[in-house]
Amino acid sequence: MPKKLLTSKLIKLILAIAICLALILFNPKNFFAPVRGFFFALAYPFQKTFYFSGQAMHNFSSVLFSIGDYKKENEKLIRENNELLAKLANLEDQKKENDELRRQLELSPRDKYELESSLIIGQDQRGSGSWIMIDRGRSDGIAEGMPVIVYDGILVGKISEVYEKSSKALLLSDSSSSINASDVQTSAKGILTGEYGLGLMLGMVEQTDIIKVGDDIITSGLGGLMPRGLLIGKIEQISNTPDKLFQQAVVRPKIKYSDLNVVFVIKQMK
Amino acid sequence: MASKIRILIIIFLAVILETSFFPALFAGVIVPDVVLVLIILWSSRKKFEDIWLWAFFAGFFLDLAISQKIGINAISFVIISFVASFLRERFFIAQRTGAFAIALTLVVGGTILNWFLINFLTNFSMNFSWKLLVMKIASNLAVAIFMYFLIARYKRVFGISESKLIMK
Repeated sequence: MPKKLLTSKLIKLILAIAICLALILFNPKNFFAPVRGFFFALAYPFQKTFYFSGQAMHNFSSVLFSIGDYKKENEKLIRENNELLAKLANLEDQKKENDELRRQLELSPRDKYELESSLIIGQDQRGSGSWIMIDRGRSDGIAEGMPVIVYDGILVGKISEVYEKSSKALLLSDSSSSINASDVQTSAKGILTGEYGLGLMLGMVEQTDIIKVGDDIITSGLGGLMPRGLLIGKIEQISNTPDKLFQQAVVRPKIKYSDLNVVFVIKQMK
Repeated sequence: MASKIRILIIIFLAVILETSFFPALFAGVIVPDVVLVLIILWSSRKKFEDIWLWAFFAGFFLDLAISQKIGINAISFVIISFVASFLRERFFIAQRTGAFAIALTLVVGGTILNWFLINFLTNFSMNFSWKLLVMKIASNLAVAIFMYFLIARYKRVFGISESKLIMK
């Protein structure tokens, strides 16, 4: 009897594994697209509610943990406020200078794009910073490949899958993410790839090109829907590839992807 | 039928918790595998024959929700539910005490197995961070402790019938 039971179990196990392996290997993506679309349509209100609840609890717990620091924080803020007032005058000058630099470096001005603001309603549950779900989809004019940025023209990823009312955006740190990028200061070009959610790597930089630690990295605008001039991050470390054919650099993203709340999708250039 | 729909809703809510609630709560740093823990705790109380289809559907839903290749989480959950169920029947069923510790042990083992399986099936490599794995185990244990008592308190809601050990 126990032997028979084990056989029945094993048959079910083997059957389930065989079905799963067939699904993984043949990857019938389009076959499941309607199922996935239906799932997201059903899950959308729950995702939104749960995500906001989680965020509210996160904010509340942050307040609770920091309550003891309020007095010190207040004193610090007063001191900082005085310093900021003094700096304000200088900033006006710097703004003019910044605008001029943006023009010279061909960084994209913020009012150049038609943007669609969206809230994040889900993200990579493995904590590897691979993707985010946003609450804008096909009905809002979102399409695959559109760049996703934050307030200041900082690129965070691009749309990889679109559903009726939601979309999935692949973050730059995902291992399958790959975009053309260039060094602002030296114009060296390379390909920026994700490092399994751990960071960004600028590779395929020719040995004759110059890159330096601290240089800013932007999109080069070569290929695809990605416009030129979206800021990505700063070079943190430089090395050679094992075969010494190319240089590569670890790039620190300008923002922490896990802290994102609101993002903008670039629908088109104005 | 009603209990099947109830279990389906529980799995659906667990998927939403894992993909939307916990990533926001912990700012995406480390997210507990709610669905995996649920399947392990179920498997530690049920026969494989009663749980394997639910394990498959739970993995299927999670694959849908995280937009990755269909089957990756499903295969992992089916294997883990088999192992958990097998261990329970072979080694633990005779033990009247220590059910809680056994369930937590299964959660630790299941988390490690799931981590390796998912990493391998997603990237076809075994490169991973030990630090993240340890954090994942800790977060899964925290969820398992809460969920263990929740299941014990609301057995019928979770489709547990101790006397028969079947999925209602």
